[in-house]
Order: sequence, then C-alpha cells, then structure tokens
Amino acid sequence: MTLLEVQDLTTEFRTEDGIVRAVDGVSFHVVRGETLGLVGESGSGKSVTSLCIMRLLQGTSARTTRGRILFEGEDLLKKDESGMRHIRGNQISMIFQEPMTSLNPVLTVGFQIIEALKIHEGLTDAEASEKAVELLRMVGIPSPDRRVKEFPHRLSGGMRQRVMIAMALSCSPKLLIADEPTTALDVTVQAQILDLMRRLKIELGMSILLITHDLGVIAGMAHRVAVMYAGQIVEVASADDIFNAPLHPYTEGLLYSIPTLDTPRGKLHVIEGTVPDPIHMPPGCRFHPRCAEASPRCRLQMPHLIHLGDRSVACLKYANGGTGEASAQ
Amino acid sequence: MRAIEPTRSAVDEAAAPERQRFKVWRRLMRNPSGVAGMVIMGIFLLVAVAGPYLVKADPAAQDLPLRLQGPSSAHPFGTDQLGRDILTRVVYGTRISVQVGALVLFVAVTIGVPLGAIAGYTGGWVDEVIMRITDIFLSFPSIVLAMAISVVLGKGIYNAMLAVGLVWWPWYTRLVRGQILSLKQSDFIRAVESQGLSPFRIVWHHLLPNTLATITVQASLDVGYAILATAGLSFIGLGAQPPTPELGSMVAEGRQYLTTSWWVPMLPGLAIFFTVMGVNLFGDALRDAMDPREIGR
Repeated sequence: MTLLEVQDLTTEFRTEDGIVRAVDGVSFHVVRGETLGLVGESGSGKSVTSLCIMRLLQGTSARTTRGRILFEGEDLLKKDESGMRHIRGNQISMIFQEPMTSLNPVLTVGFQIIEALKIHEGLTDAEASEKAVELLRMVGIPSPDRRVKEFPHRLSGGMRQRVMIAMALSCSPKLLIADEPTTALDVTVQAQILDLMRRLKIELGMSILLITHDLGVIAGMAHRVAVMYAGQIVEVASADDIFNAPLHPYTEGLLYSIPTLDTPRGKLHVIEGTVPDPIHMPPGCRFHPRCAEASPRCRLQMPHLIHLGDRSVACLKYANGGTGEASAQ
Repeated sequence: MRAIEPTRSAVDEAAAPERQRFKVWRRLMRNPSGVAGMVIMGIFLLVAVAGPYLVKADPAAQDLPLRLQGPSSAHPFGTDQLGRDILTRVVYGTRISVQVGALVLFVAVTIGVPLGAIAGYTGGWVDEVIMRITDIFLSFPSIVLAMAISVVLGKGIYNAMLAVGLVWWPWYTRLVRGQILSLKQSDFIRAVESQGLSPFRIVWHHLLPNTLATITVQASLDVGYAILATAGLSFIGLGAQPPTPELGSMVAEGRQYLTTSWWVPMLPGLAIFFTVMGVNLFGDALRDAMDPREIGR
C-alpha cells in the first residue's frame, strides 16, 4: 500500500563556505490515498526533499549522496532523465508556493495546460483543448471556455493557483506534491484552495505530500505528519497524536507557539534561539541549543528515529525504551 | 446583473490580447522621433517595393555624352561619371539595402538565437564551448572579420551580406543566453519542468517566447548598422561589384568627384544616412515602447 518511500535521503549543496547538508538521512513514506504533512521552519529542508523526489535539482550544485526514493517500488534516483520525464507531471505532479509567478506571462492559460496532456496522454491539440476546459471547470474556474484563451495576468492569485492545480492534475497523477500551496494567498482563498485539494484528492484517489510551515493547514488536511528540523525528521505520527500528544520538544514548541483563542493576551510564545547555521551544525542533537530539556548527552550523541508503536521520534528522551534521558539526570 | 455579466467580460476578453500590443503602438505614436523614424522607414520601404514602377530607366544604362550632369528636371539627382541616372541608381540601391538589412539579420538571428538558447539552458561545458567561440568572434573588430570572411567567400553583394551576418550572430547569442539564464530560474520554468516537458519544448515553447520582445528591439536597432557595415564592405570593393547599384559602392566610385560634382557621391551617401537614421530612430522608440517596466503604466 506504500506509494512513495524515501529512505535515508541525503542531499548536499557545495557552496563557497563549505558543504551544506540540506537533507540529512531523511526517511518517510506516503501510503496510497493519504495526505502526509511535512512540517518545518524555513530552511529545514522540506522543499529540497520535494525537489529531490522530482529530481529537479540538476543544474544546481546539489548532489544526492545517499538514500533511495522508491516510487511504486522503483528507485527514482536510478532513473535516467527521460524515464524521469515520464514520471513528472504524469505519475507525480507538483504545485508551488507562488501562483503569481508560476504561470508563463506570455502564453495563454490553455496552452500551458495542454502541454502536459499532449506529451503524457498523446492527445491531439483539439482533444487537449477540450480537456483543458474540463479541467478548469473541475477546479472551479467560472466560464472556463473563455478563461483558457486568456493570459495569466488577467487572473487573480487564487485563480492562478487553481490553474496550477488543474495543470498538475491534468494527467491524473498518483502523487501530488504541494509545496506551500496556500502560503502566498489570503486566508479566505486559502480555505477555498484547501477545500478544492481535499475534494479532488478523494475524487481522483491520489496521495498528497503537503509541505508547509503552517500547522493550521496541516490540521485541516493531513492524516499523518512528519516534522523536520535542520535537515532531519524529528518526529512522525498521526495528525491527532502530533496535535494532542507531541513527543519531541521541537514539535511541542511549534504547537505551543500557535496562539489560540483561550491563550491569555500578552507575549506570544516563541522557541528561543534560531535555526542552526547549516555549515556548522551543532554536534549531537541539532535541536539541543534551543531545547529546554537538553541534557549533556544531547550535546554528544545524535538521536535516531526510534519507533514507539505506530509513531516515531528522534529524541534521546525516548532512547531507552521510553525512559526519559533528561529526567534521569 | 446576470444578463450584463457575460457581455461585459466578453468585451474585456476580446480586448485582452490586443491591449498589450495596442499599448506598445500608442506609446510608439507618442514618441516624435519614433514617428519620424517610422515615416522615413515607410518612405524607404515604399521606394524599395515600388522602385521599378517609380523610375523607368535601367540603373546600368550608360549615356557617356551626358556624364557628370548636375541635378536637372530630366535627372533630378544628376548623372554619374558614366552618364547613369543617379536617382534610378539610388532607388535600386535602396532595394538592395532593404534586402541587406533583412538578410544580415536573418543570418545573425538564425545562428545566434538558437546557440544562445542552448548555451543558456544547458549550461556546463556546452555553455563554455559556445560562449568561448562567441568570445573569439567578438574579440576581432567586426568589420575586419567581415572583410576576411567576404574575401574567403568571394566578391559580390550576397556574399557581403552573408559575411556581415556571420560576424553579427555572437551579439544575439550573448543577448539570448543572458535572458535565458535569468528566465530559467523563474517559477514558471520550474513548474513546466515538474510537468515532465522535454528541454526542447521548454526552450522553444516556454523560454524563447519570453525573449521575443528583446530580440525584436535589438534587431530593429541593428538593421541600420547592418546596412552601414555592408555598404562599408562595398565601399572598399569587397561587396557589390559594378555595375550593381549598391549605395556604398556608389559612394566609393563617386568619391573622386566630390569637389567637382558633389552629387555623385553625396546623394547616395545621404540615402544611406537617412535609411540608417530612420531605422535607428524607430529602433530606439520601439525599445522604449516595449520596455516592460513602462508597459504597466
């Protein structure tokens, strides 16, 4: 039932100041039909992970040094470029953060939608145009037969994101990677787009890998959640468990920093400190400089994901069969 | 409400694609030097197309007894050292100049644009090789290189055009490569890459249309220089051969009469001057009108 399985993925960027390991030993899987939320702060490696899955990092200084990306049992990292082109847009699609700049300004909306249809489904121009109208109708764009002939500058941000979704779903992919799909939109439009994604996911029976830093979006969409910090996965659990009983101190901190209606007015809670410099990662647990529960051992030993029932966490607190290391001090 | 809604958006709809073009046109018409350039260019294009109907004479017909006659009603531009009617020759020369502008740019754009696109999009060693060849071409003074190439190709006006085109393409390679380099970082290119489009489709369907405005403006600015360079080759005897009525060679052949019969070199020279100036004024105005930062206003 597993659609996508990422194992021990490690991707490095060569920079002038040294090697930046943006993704460090990341493992997770996406089951058919589920939505997995990938949460983390900016720079935690979420987007690089998604671009790795699509193999869209060629032409940059990025190099995937370790790991496997199994999609329906096949390792995408071993595929050649033409094999990957057959996967992209056809089996795995992607929508991006910036709907305002993700459409080509000099081409009509229709032209941009039919490109993928012609390649992957072998449709003729006429068939593809017809399907483009249908797709625009499916994503809730009014008078789609006219909109296909328009240029993107005539559409609002929300409409453009709908067009992007139509493009991404044109070939009925099995997996949709949504990289911060609603971050650039205002709140009412956000809700509409998320609604649309939820509806289409059920209609088309696809899986979604939802990348975001917005826990509100995760709460409404995801079945399971993987939390990333400084290039590593620190906790994976069902959405209920993440929100009701977080294990990792970082997850706790993230949840605690969301203001709720019953929080008393005053200062917002923040996680002290900042994300570590990717070239000089702290030894041991990468979160220890900001962790209230850090013990001396956290400075020396890097925690690995350990499985506790159907969830997993990378924290030394739980390293000895659940005995809190910090409390043992 | 319901009845009005579709009508209004249908009107908007029809206006949408034209609006951008219309805006460029309106901005062009607001610029006096652009209008002047267009008028001059229009006159020359008209002369080039309708030339054989405007002047009946054969541009090579000699009338030795009537050598070096000053402008008169029979010969408004006078006659040259072989008694040929200079107006007729200028009209035919204009036809050649228009061909020169078109052919030189055709050669330069056909070679330069694809190379620039390949270099910019592919990157790596392909980019290195293409750009170093470009550098070699650009490191020679272009007129010297054009001379060398037209010597190799042999004399004649078409070879001269080809020679100028062959030294001109590196500018387009550089221009297009730079554009592609910045465009390929854009979100919409990442989006089409994530759809599994082939590099050829990405470059041809998605990147090049975005560079079209820049290429058009550059080409319109270059037409004048192309005419000038080809006239220069003819002037030093490498381009058009007698009795071809090419403006540059007419200036060259007539220059010894400058002090005694000024009209022989001067009038073809002025024809070159006005053509080039018209094209350049138009090109400058077009560049201003198509500037994307200005268009939104």
